[in-house]
Amino acid sequence: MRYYFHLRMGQTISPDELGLELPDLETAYLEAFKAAQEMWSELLAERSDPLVRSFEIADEHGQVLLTLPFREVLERAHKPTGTLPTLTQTLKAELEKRKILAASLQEQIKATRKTVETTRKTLDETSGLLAYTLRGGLAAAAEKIRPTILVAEDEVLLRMMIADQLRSAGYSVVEAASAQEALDVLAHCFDVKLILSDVRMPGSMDGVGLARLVRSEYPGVKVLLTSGHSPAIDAVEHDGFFPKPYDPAQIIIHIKTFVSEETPAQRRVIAGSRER
Amino acid sequence: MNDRPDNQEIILVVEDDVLIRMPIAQYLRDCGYKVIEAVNADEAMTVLSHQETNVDIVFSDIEIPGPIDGFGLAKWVREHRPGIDVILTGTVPRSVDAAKELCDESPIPKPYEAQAVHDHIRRLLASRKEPRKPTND
Repeated sequence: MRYYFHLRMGQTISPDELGLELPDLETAYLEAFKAAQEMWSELLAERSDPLVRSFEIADEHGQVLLTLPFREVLERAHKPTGTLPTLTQTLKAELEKRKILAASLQEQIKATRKTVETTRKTLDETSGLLAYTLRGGLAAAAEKIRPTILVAEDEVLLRMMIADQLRSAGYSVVEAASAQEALDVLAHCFDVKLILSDVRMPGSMDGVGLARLVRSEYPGVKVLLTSGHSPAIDAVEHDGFFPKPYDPAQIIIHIKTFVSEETPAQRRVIAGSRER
Repeated sequence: MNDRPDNQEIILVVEDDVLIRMPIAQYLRDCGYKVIEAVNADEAMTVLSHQETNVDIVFSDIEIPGPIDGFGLAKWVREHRPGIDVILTGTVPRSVDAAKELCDESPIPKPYEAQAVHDHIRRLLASRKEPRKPTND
């Protein structure tokens, strides 16, 4: 490394002039002392204020390594004995500090880069999630205009199968494993258009009891019943009966005679007429 | 059952309260999953034993009616369907320690946010390097 000696005049410095090239730091200091003494002598003779505010020692790239205030250098120049080693140590310590600072800055840059990378990943994930949520929201919005069918069936695989088929046919399906669950759903879900219920279900109420209750409490809701047996059911208590095993396609065809999909516009008209 | 898109994951929701099961199942369907609903461990095991249904994740309440609760179901899944992840939910204080033995993460406390359940499912699905299919036993 080479060292250069600058004089700083006020707050300005010529960046393209590195000044006097010096072989080492000690020589740079000695030059600084010498310059300070000469300048001070001139200043005393001219009785003027010093224009030089400080001395700087820079490397060959123009990077300032150390700034020495004029008066401080001058004071040290007048009593140079024993001060040079101290100054050299100070300078070395200062350089060490700068190295540490540079290392610290490098670490900070690394950390910042890592943060930027993490933030970018988070943003990617968030935007992905947002898009996903939006798609879900759109799907939910589309779902809302689908007629809702309540399937009451205690046999899980059968319930899963028919619910799946009905969803594939475009209906929104709510699943209940008993008559009581079906009633809970009806009490909280106002959009049920039709119930497809098994007759034999566990609990205090079977499908026939459910059908009767729905007829009296929810007269606008259509009721289809299914059973593997031949229960004695009055035809007025339901809107269709399908013996098990049934063909889901036949049930869907039957449901379509009662329930059709509403467009949002239709729904608005219906809602308006209900309000009136 | 087999006409689902190849990338559609199947979540089995086990919850005996229909008013809890219905909204979370619907939410997860809106998120793009195929959701199967079960009201107890017996129904869940029937679904999980069904060869044509390849469940990816079981999301089960701890306190479900019947001889087997959520812990029992998780244990059964671990023994019989080791490729399926289980997420438990509940309010039982002892659940945390017990669930740690059976699941990769702590249970989701009730009442839960549907979004929190979805996040949990997404994390689990993301951690699965390759889709695991149930073994025949």
